[in-house]
Amino acid sequence: MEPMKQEGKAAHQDFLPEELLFRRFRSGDIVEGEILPSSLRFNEPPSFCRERYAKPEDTIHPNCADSRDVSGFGVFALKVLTVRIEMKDRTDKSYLFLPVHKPLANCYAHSQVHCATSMDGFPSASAPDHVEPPKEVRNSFRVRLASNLSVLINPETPS
Amino acid sequence: MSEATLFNFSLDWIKEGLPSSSSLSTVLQQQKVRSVRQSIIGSFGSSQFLRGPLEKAEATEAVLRGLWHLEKNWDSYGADAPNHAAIGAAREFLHEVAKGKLDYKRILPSAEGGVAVAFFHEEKRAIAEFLNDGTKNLILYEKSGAVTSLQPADDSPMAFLDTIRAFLFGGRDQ
Repeated sequence: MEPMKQEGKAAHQDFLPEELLFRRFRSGDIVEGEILPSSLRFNEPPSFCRERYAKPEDTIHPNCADSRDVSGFGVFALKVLTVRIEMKDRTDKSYLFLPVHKPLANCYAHSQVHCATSMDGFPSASAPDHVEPPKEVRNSFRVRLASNLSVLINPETPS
Repeated sequence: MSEATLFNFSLDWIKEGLPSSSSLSTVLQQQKVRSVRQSIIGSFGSSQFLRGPLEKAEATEAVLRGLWHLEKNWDSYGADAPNHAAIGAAREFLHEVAKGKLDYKRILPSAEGGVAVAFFHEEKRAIAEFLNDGTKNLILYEKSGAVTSLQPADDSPMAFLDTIRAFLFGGRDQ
């Protein structure tokens, strides 16, 4: 069954703390059973499929992968409560991490995790612009994600 | 001849043959080099002391060559492939790692564009990243998710290695 398409539906920014966010990974990303922070990027907002509108297997469907065959990839999940957090840098400046629903035409569940310095009325207003957090904050966030994810679909191992 | 010294120069000789005549001016020098090289190769069969570091160095070089052939979007989310600068910086660092007799766990591409070198010791993890923009990044954390604020004094391979060693092993021997 194909992932849910947008078909005119608006984005919904109501994420429950226990909702899961799904993301693909390669077999080469697993080191002794762990996915390392280096396999998680945050120099741009990372993409996920949100559980409310997707099943884990939708994440490895071409409609949610820019029409590419990603059937051999695995899928891991993170809870929204892991992602939605405030972190401070060494100058005590706050960085807020939050999931943002950003539907695509063929993948309504498509979402991103943004980093913002101010919520500015979100979620009633539009999503805040993503700001790239400083290195120490980014590292801590990547470790937090890597340490709290659960593998739902194992990737195919290369023959 | 120390193991570190042996590691430094023997790999290129073994893989690529003797240095060219332009770098060694006399036949006598070439014969001397050939003699040393043959003694190194001859030692492989019997000496784990010699064979281990060389096999590790060959494996390291093979992985780095593999990263060079990676294409953009290797992670399916648009990640850049490691570029020449990132691979070169990783190679330089791994050279220090070999000299320092520290074992890395894995070399892999970084999703932020570059090369990552991972070290594990019990519950401790160290990830050194060499990024395409020329910057370096060190992530030190416990498997539980606790991140340490320990950072290298500078961006040199030796400073990275010293910090990784201090974090993974503290004051204890490896």
